[in-house]
Amino acid sequence: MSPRSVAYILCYLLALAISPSDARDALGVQISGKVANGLYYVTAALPIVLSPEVEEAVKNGVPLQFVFDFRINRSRRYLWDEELLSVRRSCTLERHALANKYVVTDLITHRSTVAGSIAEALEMLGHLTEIPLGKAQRLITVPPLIGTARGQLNIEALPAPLRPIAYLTPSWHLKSPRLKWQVLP
Amino acid sequence: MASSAVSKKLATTTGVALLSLSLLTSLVLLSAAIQNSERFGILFSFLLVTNCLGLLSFLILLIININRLVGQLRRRQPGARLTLRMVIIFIALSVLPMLVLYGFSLDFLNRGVDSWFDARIDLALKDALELSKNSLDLRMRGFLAQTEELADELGRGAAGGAVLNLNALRNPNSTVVSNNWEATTSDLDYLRQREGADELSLASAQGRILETSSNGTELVPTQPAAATLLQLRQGHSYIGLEPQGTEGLFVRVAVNVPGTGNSSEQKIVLALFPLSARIKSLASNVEHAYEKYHELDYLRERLKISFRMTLTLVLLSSIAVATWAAFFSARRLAAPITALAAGTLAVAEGNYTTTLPVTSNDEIGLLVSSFNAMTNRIANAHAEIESQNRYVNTLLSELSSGVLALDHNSVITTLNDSGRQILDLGDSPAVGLPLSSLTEHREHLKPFVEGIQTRRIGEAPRWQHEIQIFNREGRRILMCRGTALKFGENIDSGHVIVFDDITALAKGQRDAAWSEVARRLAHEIKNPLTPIQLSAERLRQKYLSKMAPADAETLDRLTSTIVQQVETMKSMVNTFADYARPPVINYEQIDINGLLSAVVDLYKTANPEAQFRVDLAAFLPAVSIDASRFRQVFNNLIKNALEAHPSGSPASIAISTRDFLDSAGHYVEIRLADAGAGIKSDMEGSVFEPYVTNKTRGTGLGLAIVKKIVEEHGGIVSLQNNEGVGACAIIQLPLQTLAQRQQNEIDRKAS
Repeated sequence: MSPRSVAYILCYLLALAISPSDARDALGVQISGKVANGLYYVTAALPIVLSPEVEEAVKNGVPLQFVFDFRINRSRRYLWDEELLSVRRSCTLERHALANKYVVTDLITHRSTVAGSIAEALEMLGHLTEIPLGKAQRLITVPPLIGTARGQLNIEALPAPLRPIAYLTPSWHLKSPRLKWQVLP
Repeated sequence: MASSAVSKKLATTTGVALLSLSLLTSLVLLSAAIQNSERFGILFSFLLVTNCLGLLSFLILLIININRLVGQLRRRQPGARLTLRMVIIFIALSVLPMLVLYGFSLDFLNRGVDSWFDARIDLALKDALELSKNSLDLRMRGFLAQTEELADELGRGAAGGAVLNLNALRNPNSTVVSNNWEATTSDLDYLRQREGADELSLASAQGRILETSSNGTELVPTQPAAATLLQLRQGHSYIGLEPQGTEGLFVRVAVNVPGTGNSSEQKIVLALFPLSARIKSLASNVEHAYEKYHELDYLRERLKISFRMTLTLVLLSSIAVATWAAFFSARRLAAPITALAAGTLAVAEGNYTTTLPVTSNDEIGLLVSSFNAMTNRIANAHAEIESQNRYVNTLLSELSSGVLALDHNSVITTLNDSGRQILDLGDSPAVGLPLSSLTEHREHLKPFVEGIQTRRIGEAPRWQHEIQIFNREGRRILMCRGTALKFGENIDSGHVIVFDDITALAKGQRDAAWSEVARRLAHEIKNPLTPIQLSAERLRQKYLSKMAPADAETLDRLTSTIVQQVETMKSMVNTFADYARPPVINYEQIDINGLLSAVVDLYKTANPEAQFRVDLAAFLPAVSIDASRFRQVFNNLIKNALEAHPSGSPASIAISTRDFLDSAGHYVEIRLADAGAGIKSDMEGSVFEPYVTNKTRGTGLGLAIVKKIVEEHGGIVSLQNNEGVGACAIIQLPLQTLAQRQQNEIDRKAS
């Protein structure tokens, strides 16, 4: 790689780092990205609301698993979008009867946070801080780059007897729309 | 072809067997998955979809089989109804027990799942949980008191702008002397170890960690939750159990440090205390059991639904497999019988060479073998019958006689070539049609058909009758001999009629007979006539001059009479000779109207008192006849007509000609009607016979000669009474070309 190319890459990474893209919609969804240590990080605050059926299930000890899918794609006019970076994060939400608390556990880092109520637990669940998507070098390409995020309840992680009903009942289909943010150079 | 069919069937059977096995395996795995098996739990949805797809495959197979069976039933294919019955029986035998089993299984399932849950167990678990909480509460209160004491200790010495009693933070065993009055990590480490906490942090009222100490690997301490901070701001300490991943339960305590300023400068102590391993384990067991039981209780109805769904899938799959097996077995069992039925139908339709493959050694195989032997014998017998039929048909076609066979309904079953030729049927169909249909467009066959039907109705088993028909070749005489067919006892099985065209034979025989008679008469009579005439003339010559005038006159009169009569007899003998003479016909195309006019003119001259009404058709086609002989015919007929009138009254003769076309051909008709006495009833059938006359004078050969000449020309002559007075002679002559006439004459002479 020539020194000129290296310089160009460094300038580009610097530009990414100092001008993080930010997206916030009317529902309070906030997604932002930044580059640090050569990695692209996403921080998102996604409001998560449970349907009464799902909330009842949690209160009755059924653990829930939520999957958050983050991607950065390059839009192409004549071909499908090229996926540059992607990551899936899974978190569980379960009730602890003895502590009378709700525990949110990141299945990647296995870090648990404890909340006294479901609302607090959902807020914790929706706050995804500095999720590394991958090497920022991959983002050095022709814009536009579109970041997408989606969170959904993983029905397959439910207890087996609950899965058919969950598949057949709309109230169990907790899936956010694919939220987009533009990754600016 | 057969091997490919067998291969296809084998492949289908193997495929369905594999599908059944896969479905069974999938159902077993599904059953394991639904019971929360760790191994198969993650495959639950996949297994469920797989089972549904397997079931769907079988349903499609069933629909195909049902559709095929319905098609076979609609087409009334042999064996379809048998297959349907067997399928219904098989399905009833397999499905009904399954349904009973399903019903009982559902009941047992509901009861079984309900039996897992007992109010006493529920209460015991709740009590155990409560007991655990109480037990932990004691310890938690201890940790709270310990932490509050630490906070008091920290806040007690705070004065003069110092926020903490830093002396309290000093490790008395430390040799490091520091003039820095800020709290350090090593200070917190000392306190954490002293208090036996896992984590000890000093934070601001806003939750910002000022300093922390931990014995774990966690670099970042857990920040207090908003609710905890709110509780602290309200002046209440916080204590709570916190599960920490796989490490189990911990006790988190957060207390305000007293005397550390106003609310914004307030400091808080955060501590995380571990529980003993024994307590952790016990608490975890109780909590786990309670959670599982509670979860199961919540999932009870869903579990039942899942079990029911699995059981229903098992039932439907079993029914589908059993139904397919019913179709397969029914088809397999019914196949030989179906083949037998198809073979029987084929034999019934006349395919006697049908043979069926013998696929088994059981009773069905024996039946198929017997069927093959039977069809073989039938085929041989049929071949023999066919051979005999061909032989009989060949014989019939070679026969010169016509053979007509009728069934009991007078439907023609056989008519040989000669018969068709004699009846002049051409290529018209006759076999399979009623006898009466022969007269359609063939009026000339009416006498033939009526003659047969009249005698068929009669009870005579055998009959013989001469029937005359008049076709385009003229009058034909058919000698018919009929025999009633009776198969079995007095069962009318039809009639067979053998008929010959004896026109030429009869004519020849009759001509020969009459010629012989005429020849003998001429010979026997003519010989003595000359001596009689000579003797009479000699007597007259010798004695006339010697006798007295009176006697001489008598002698002269008598001898004249003798000579005159002898001349008459000679003339008669000559007529006989003419009749007996074999005909020599010189055919030529003659205008009948012209010939008739010439003859009539002669008679008009000779009989001026007689009235001749001549109505001759214009454009009458020329007829191929011998003019001299037909002149004799017209002479004889006009002479007869004149003589038929009583003496003294003027004769009235009407003469007409015309031509007409009918099914038998094109004809010229000559009618000659008188106003005489007509034909006596006793003579109606024999007026044309020789020596038949009602006149006192005459030979009785006039009409016989007329008939002879007309028939020699292929025509027909009849004499019938008029509606008023007199009689009418009708001559019908076929219009034939000269060449046809000559050819007919050659044929006639040859026959």
